Amino acid sequence: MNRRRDELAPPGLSAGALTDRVSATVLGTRPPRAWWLALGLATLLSLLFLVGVVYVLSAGVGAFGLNIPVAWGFPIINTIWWIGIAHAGTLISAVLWLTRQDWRASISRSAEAMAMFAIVLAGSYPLLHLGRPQFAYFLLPYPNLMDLWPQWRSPLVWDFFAIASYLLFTASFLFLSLLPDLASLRDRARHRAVQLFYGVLALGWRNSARHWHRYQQAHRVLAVIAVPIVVSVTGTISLDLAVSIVPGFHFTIFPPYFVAGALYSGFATVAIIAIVLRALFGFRDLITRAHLNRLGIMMLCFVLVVDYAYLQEVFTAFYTGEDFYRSVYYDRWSGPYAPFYWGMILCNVVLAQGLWFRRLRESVPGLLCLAVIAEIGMWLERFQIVITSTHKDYMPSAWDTVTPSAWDWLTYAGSIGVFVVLLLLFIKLMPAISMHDMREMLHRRKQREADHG
Amino acid sequence: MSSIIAREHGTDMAALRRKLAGRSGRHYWRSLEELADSDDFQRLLEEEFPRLAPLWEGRVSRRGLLGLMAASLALGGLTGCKPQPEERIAPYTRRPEDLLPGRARWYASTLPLDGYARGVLVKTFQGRPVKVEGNPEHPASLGATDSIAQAEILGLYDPDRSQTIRYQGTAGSDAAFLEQLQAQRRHWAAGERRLCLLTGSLTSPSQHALIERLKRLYPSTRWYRHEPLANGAARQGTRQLFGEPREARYRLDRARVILDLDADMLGSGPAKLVHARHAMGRRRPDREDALLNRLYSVESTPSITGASSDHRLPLAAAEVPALAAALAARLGVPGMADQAENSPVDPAWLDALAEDLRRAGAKAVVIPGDTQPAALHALAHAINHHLGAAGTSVEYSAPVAPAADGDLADLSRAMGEGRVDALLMLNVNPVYNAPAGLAFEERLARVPFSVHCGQYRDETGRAALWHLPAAHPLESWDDARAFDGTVSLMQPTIVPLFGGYTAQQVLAAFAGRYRADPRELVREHWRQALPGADFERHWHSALQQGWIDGTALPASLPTLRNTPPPPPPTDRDGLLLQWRADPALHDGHYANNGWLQELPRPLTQLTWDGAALISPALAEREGLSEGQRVRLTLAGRSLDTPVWIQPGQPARAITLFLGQGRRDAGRVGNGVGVNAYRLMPDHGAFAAGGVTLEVLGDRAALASTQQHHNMAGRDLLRETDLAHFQEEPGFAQPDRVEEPISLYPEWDYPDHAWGMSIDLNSCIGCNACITACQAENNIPIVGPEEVRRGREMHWIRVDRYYAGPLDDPSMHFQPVPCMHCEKAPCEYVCPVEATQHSSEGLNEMIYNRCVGTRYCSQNCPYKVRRFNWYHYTEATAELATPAAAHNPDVTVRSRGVMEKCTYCVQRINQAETDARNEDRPLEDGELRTACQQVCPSEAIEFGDLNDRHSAVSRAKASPLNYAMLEELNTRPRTTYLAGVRNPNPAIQALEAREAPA
Repeated sequence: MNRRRDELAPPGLSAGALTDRVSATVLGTRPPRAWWLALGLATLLSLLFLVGVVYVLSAGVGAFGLNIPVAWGFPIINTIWWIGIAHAGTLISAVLWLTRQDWRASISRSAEAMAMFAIVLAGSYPLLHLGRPQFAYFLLPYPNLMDLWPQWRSPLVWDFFAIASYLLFTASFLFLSLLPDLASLRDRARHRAVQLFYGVLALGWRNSARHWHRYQQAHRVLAVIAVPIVVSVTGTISLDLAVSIVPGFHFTIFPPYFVAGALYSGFATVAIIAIVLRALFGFRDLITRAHLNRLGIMMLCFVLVVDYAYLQEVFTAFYTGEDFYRSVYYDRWSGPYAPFYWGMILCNVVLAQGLWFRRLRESVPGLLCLAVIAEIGMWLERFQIVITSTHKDYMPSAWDTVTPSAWDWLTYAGSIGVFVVLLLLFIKLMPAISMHDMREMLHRRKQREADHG
Repeated sequence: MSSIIAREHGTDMAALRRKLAGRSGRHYWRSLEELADSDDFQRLLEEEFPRLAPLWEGRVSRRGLLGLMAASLALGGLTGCKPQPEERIAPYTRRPEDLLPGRARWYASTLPLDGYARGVLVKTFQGRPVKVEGNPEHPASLGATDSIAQAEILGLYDPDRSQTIRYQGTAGSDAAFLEQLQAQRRHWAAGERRLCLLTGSLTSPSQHALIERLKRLYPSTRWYRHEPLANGAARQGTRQLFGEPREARYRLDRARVILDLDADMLGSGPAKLVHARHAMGRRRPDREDALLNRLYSVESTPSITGASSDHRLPLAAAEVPALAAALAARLGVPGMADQAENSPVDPAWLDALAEDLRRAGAKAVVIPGDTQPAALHALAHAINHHLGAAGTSVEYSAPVAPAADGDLADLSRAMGEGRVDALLMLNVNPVYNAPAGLAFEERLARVPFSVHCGQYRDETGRAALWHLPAAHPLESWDDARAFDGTVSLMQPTIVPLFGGYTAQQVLAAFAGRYRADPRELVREHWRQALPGADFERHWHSALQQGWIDGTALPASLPTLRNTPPPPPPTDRDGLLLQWRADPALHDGHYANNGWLQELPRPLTQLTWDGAALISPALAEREGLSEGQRVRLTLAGRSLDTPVWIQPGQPARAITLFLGQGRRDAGRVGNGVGVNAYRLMPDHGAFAAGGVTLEVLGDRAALASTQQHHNMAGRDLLRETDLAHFQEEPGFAQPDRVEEPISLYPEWDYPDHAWGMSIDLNSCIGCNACITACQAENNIPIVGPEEVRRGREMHWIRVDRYYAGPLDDPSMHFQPVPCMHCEKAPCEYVCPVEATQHSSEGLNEMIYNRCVGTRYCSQNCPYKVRRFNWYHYTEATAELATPAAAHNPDVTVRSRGVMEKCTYCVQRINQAETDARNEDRPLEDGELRTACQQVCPSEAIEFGDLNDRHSAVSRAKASPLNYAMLEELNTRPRTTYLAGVRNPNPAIQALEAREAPA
């Protein structure tokens, strides 16, 4: 009984059948109606994003609800939120691969794609945030006649490198793991144009043992590099806040706290994508309840770290004995932004406890709800960190509140649209489930069954 | 242009033919439209530039319009794009001596306010005035100015100023005007018709001489004076007491105990700058030359004077005379004995005050407020006389402004009776600021020949038959007397930009001298008035220093002729409406000045739209919150205004600020706030009972720059009383660290290390530093919407905190510029090194390098950085400062960059260059920041910390010196001197007794 529930793929599924099924989602004639519907809606949303971006770039960052003292707002919140989401992708594809977790096989591709698109969005917000985005390249250490370099003490420079290296890494990791599957699609395609498309992308992959050997080597190297990156990118982002002297930003617990939060929201996103894939392409037997269960367990792990960090933060604030830190908390609890704080507590502390229940984790609507709650909770967490810290910091005379403007909401909602569009196009153009990872997993299972006879 | 009309309305040919047929004789018509005599054509004639009309009506920016005008000028120049005529022109090789491009030149001049002169120095670049500073040697300035004088630069370049003569609203010419004037003059001279003049308070001897001349030429001429902010109570009160009107001059440098009776002596009146210097400039107990006077304020509206006082008593305006009478009784002023029991306040408080005044004797002074009735003036001066203060801490002279034949009410009555055939209104705006009961506008329409001369085609300019543009004071030849009578000369620093006329020119034209040279008109007067042979030399030196020596009115000790009258009876309940001048817009003349509109008003910190001040008690009773709109009804007239809850406001008093609610001020000032003059009683009192308040449903969004009013228990502003200071001089430095440590290496300053010290004892919170900084550093105006969002751009702000009970809190000011931290939190977080530490200790912004991450502002604990959220300085921005008003030494910042106080680095560099060129060391005091220079009470010291003997080093050595948030180890270079107040121990004991109850 227990074993059946833990089944990661239908028994007796052969490698060939699997490849047929998955490649059919790409090469098959018509995508499902739901796909078109989702694409249409998401395209509308992303057009709104475009409108928002064009407006902000032409009018100025004054379009956002920002002021002095709250000079950071939605663009920073959204950067942290998206980069957090990106993190689970790397963790699944690299760390779980290194630890030989079989259950990662069917979700790793979508997780990597998710990471890729999330990081693109995370990287676009800092540009929108800048007062003069046309000079963003000042952050680069490019050679120039004036001998000007970026300021290495500034966490924003670290941040720039963190996001840039993460983007590079994610892109190469995604592409590398796609190579064998691209070759499979090339071989199965009927149309010349499609053959050419996948053929060029497959870079001449011929499924030879030598290719596989090199692939394994490259994959292993990248995976090993990925482990520190998972920790360092969000850790660095958290330093943007923690290195400052702003009460509410300046906490040493921020790097691990942010990593945990990032992974929590990232696994929630993977869970949402997995549930959508199951429904969209009928992958219920490939992405099983066992997968959902494990994603839920991962979410639970990280949300507990997050909850611990909340507690620790409050403790630190009061243990400092400094009025500045304490009043930030009094304000978070009872000030104008208290609904955001308590909303975060409700999502991430109270409702997240539902993850303890296997029944909820394995139920599709249950996990979907918990995952959406996680996304909202993590966004609220970033909101309350970024907005409430400076709105009441050292000088009472400078205290002020901001109200997010329509452009804030537009660029936020729009970015979700962009993300969904990119993801929908990806699962139509590329195999949504890594065929070679699955075949490897099936192979190992067959071996295990043979061993145990 | 005809095509425009034809297209829109068509032309009825048949009607035209009928019209032509009905005419006899030769009749010229220029177009079918003229013939049709349609309304559209009339409207077209009215507009000088019909094609610009949509632009004028639309919210085109002032810069935009200037741009359009510049473009049309340039296009006009294009007609010259043909072969140049062969003429000899002289290249600019031999420049006039001492005229260096890029070097500023300074001219002494005068800016009048309410007719009183304030001596200023005008900084010009190549004939373009860019900044006003106080004239250190002028008796009414002592080197300081107020915000209004600072903002005159913006007013000078205001494109909304009147630019043409107008007749019945259409463009007129001076020839046509003079023709009509000539005809009128014949009637006046023949005595058939009567000319009346209406001026503001007028102290100018040359203008007065011209008025006298007019009266000689046309004997029926009457001269009326309209002072919207004063009703002559001071003159009346002194006449009651001394038998003749006298003008009081307070010598606060001699006074030890000062009682301000609703006078706001630091924030209003022609001598406010001098009062601030004398009363507040030396209130430093750690200094050897300290002047520890004691200030008492009884005030009906919280003001900067009350906030700076040692004791402040809120009292409704109508009850102040009763308090003065009870005080006079206690002091034994003759005839007042029966008033002792009539005190509207705690008698014990009054006893303590009386005792203090009696002890100070001749060194005490009582200052009555101009908004108070004559009875209070008589009482106050009787007390001064009784204390022996007359002659020492208060001097009396003849009135500085000569008496006119009547006031606005008299004129209005005469107009109503049809006794005014011609009216010249010189630099006044009675249609806007006359009380509604005078029905001035309706009566003006019945005056056959009315002429308005003013800088703006304002409400009166539109209602008058003729409107003449007036020259700005910075464009004029003129003279005016300072508060002590010193004649100050005004010399133009630029030719009139829009061809305005000076008051003398207009008066001379009325006297029959057309198109006279404005300079000659002033010179002629003084050639006769100044004795001595060598007029030219005398005149030249007077122009150079800005005033004429020996023209101060002599002080004399008046004899007491009468006992003061008993105070008018007042009811002690019911709501009371009070009027006060807007601290920035004054009487409303400055409503179109964006710097002043956006200046946070002291205490309320409100910008743009004003509000009626109500007390917390009244707010509680009526359930009002800030911004809620109410309807105030007085004598059948009502006014809808939002309210502002002002701690310290007398419980039943509602204060309205005059100067807002302009209809025709210009694009900046139109429709900002409500016109409180409408409710004023006809006889010009500044307080009235019997007002009703009705709460309306809606709210107004007010733009205040400070949302939180207490210090949240943080010791940002440190203050104590004298007794505590003497006991514990180091109270301001509770945990001073001698050798602070840091992870970062120490800086090395071989040359200079600039620093600033701000004395909280002296700061009176007048906000002049804010406007001075704005003028010096090209700080943009952002508008009410942006201020509401918290995006004001001022580099220096004056924080105001309340402490103590809501109904009568103590009030404190703290100017906050950039701290220029030694270990600046902003510096290390900037990813592009756009903010850096200079070799002289400044924390500098490099605008070119800034990409706008705003991390520096996030990490600034003092929140002194300002960000260009939009392109506020763009030519098409709604409130862009005209380019001509910019200081050429300071970069104009564009969108997306951070900015903040630079310690006026351009001034530092200029002074250093000068010193280097002259091969001498830079001297202490030679270099002053804009905020320091403007400060009337010299609260700001700036200088080199490497120089142990510099004033700023000495200030920082004081035990009162402390750094804000020093526990953060930012090591600010701007530090504060903690405040020490000098309260009366008797009253302190009284308050301590009352506190538990």
